[in-house]
Amino acid sequence: MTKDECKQVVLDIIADIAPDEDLSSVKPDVRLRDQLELDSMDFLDIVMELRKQHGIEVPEADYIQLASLDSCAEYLTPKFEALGK
Amino acid sequence: MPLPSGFHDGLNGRELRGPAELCLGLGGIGVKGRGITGAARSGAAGHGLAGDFFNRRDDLQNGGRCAGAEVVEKGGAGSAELGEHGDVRSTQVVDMHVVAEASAIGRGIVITVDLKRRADAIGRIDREGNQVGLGIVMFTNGAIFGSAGRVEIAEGGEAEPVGVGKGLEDILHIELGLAVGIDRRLGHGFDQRHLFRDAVSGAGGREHELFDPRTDHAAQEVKGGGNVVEIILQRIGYALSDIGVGGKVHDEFDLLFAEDFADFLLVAEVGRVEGGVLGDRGPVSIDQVVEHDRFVAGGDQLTDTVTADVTGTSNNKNVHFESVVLLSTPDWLAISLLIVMKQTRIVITGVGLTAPNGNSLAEFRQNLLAGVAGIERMEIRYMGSQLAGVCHYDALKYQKKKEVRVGTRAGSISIYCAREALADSGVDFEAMAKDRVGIYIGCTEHGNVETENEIYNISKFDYDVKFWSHYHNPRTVANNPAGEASLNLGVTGPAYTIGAACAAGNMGLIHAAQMLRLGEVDFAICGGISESIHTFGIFAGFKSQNALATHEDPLKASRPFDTARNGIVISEGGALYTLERLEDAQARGARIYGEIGGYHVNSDASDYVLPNPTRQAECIRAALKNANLNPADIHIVNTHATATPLGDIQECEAIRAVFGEGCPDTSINNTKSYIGHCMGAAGALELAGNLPSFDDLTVHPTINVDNLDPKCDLPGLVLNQPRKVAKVDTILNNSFGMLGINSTLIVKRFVP
Repeated sequence: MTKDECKQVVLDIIADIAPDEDLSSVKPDVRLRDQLELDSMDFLDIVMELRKQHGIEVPEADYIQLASLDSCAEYLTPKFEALGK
Repeated sequence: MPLPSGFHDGLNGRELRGPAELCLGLGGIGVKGRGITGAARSGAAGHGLAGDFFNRRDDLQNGGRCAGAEVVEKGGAGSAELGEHGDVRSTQVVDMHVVAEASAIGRGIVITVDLKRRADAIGRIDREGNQVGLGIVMFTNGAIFGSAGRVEIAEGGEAEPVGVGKGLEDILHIELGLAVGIDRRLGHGFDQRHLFRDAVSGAGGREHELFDPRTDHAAQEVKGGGNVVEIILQRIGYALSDIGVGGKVHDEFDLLFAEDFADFLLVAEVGRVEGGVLGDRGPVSIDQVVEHDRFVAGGDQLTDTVTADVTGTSNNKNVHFESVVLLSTPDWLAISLLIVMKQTRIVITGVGLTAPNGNSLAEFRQNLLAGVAGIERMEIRYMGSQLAGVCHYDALKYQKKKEVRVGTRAGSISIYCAREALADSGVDFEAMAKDRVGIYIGCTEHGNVETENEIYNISKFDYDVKFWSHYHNPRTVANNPAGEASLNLGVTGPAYTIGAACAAGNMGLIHAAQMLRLGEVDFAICGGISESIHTFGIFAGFKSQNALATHEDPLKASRPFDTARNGIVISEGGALYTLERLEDAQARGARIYGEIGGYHVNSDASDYVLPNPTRQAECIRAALKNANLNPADIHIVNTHATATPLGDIQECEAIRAVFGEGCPDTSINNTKSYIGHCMGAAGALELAGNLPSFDDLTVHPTINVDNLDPKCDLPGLVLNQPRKVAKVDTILNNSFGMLGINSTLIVKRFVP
């Protein structure tokens, strides 16, 4: 999985979680919370969907790694690769 | 010191019922050097209140204590402080913060000085030493909650509901701590009365007003003269016509006073009026006083005995005098009135609904009149295709997609109905004080949908609970529907649900009416909702009870009263109303759908699931009584009937018992034949379906009765076709639920 593909996976999850938002202009280097209306419950949703859809675990201490699309890609791509994806 | 026997009989020996006793906290009303120490009494009656009522003359002269003032424990019945020097004191009647303060300036020097000193300390006396005759009278009744504030029931007192009606919901706007003093020096005869004092009502009543009646009386002149009671009533904003029980007002009472009395104390207690009949009366003749009361001077006879007839017709059935106690001195007349609840009228000003056959009142009503049902087939987890009443309102009208996703269906229905009701009511919601809005939503159950979904979800992950939703808890708490509505509306007042099985729809309105009457909120959004079709468990439960309907044609599946009925069709839906106190609705020119006429809720206490016709009939009768109506006065009875073979028969027994004879103007219908059983929304939706009958004078039928079950035959049953009628002034709405809860709500045509 490339980092770009990883970002798309995250965006797809966010599309389910925040269906009213326009995701087309989301900046990858800016915190997601600053661009979209996402609260802590929504982030838990992202974590849950990663778990359900992709079998990826994100421990609580690592939640901060999901702050932006870029940081998501940095953090998650290795995890995807480790699962052989 | 023993009291005059008449007085005993009249007031003192008699146990004054009521949470706080009638209290004459007349303290230290000084007249000619005499003081009266009022001992307040409340709670446990029977002690010698008035034995302590009067100061000994010799004590007064000697500056001694008021022997009689019995100190009652504060927090018990209230506190009374010993009268010193005949001084009055703050006699706190009960923990109701109705303070009787009497400070009077007698003409005796000793008293004046003492009182003045004391009074200065509390800053309530004219420092010039002007004689200000004060009459302070209090009356309390712990069951009364003044709209100005709260009244706490005294410990040890009993919260006995007073007056007509039921208790809390009858308790309303009462002026507490009324003090009236009438200076008779300024006028002779009853046509010149001057009220010159207000008592402090700790429950938010007025402050003391001090004025010298010799100079200020003109400003305080009360219109109309007439009798004292009228004057007092005027003062506190009631008219004589507001007083009465069942149309017959309070009977006559005697005022006793003397022109030339040197000193005295006299109380004539009029007695309690109940049900329009005057209770015991205890006018005390001066003879008796003379005989028994040492500081009544001289043995003078009372010369003027006036009977004031306050009989009048009442246009408010729910107010009457609890009792009247009169205290008279040569200089003034004080009257204590225990005024009992005036029942605030509650009206419906808006409706928002979603039913399986309509998403607005207009659409719903149209389909009810046209016989158009709204049942369809739906795939239910583990159960395949089942009949269900499904709503098709636009959830995105008032919610974002995310809110619909995060929240529950019940929450979504609540938001839709609340918003629709608010729009319908025409109220300027933006400008409304949001902390004064209450949301009261009845529901049968809540949490089943979410829990079933989550268990199903984790079953796909080998029941590993790390896949359990973090939304589970806020989605399943029982108040979720009301909470989601409060979030959506920005309501910061109370928002919660009321669980009452299938009676919950009525309960929302009943509870809201109570909260409005208590003054908890000023505006209520209330009713009932259901998301029950999104569970499988409720379907399976009814199926296991053999109570789930089946039919080839969904529109014909719900068949109350029909011989071929075979059970319940489960539905979702919601109906929320805006409810307001009448005066508020009128102040903003609201359109009024109807008025809450009365209600009752009771329990069968007999079976887990089977209904009890005796208790149902009791509930209906009690609601009628609460509304002051007879069965023949009801024009539409909306039955609960869910189309179970037995339940319909049981309810018909109950209806027959109440309406079976002598009710030619009573039509009976049912709404579940159209929309199935909307569970928590049922009562609320079914009421809504009938409300337009006030305008179009048409009773919608119950449909799907091809063959009426003879055991469900009732006079007035409207089958299959709507019926035009001559009048619709009242709707009686029944909802009965499992575990034997019964509710009956009566809505009447609003007549100003």
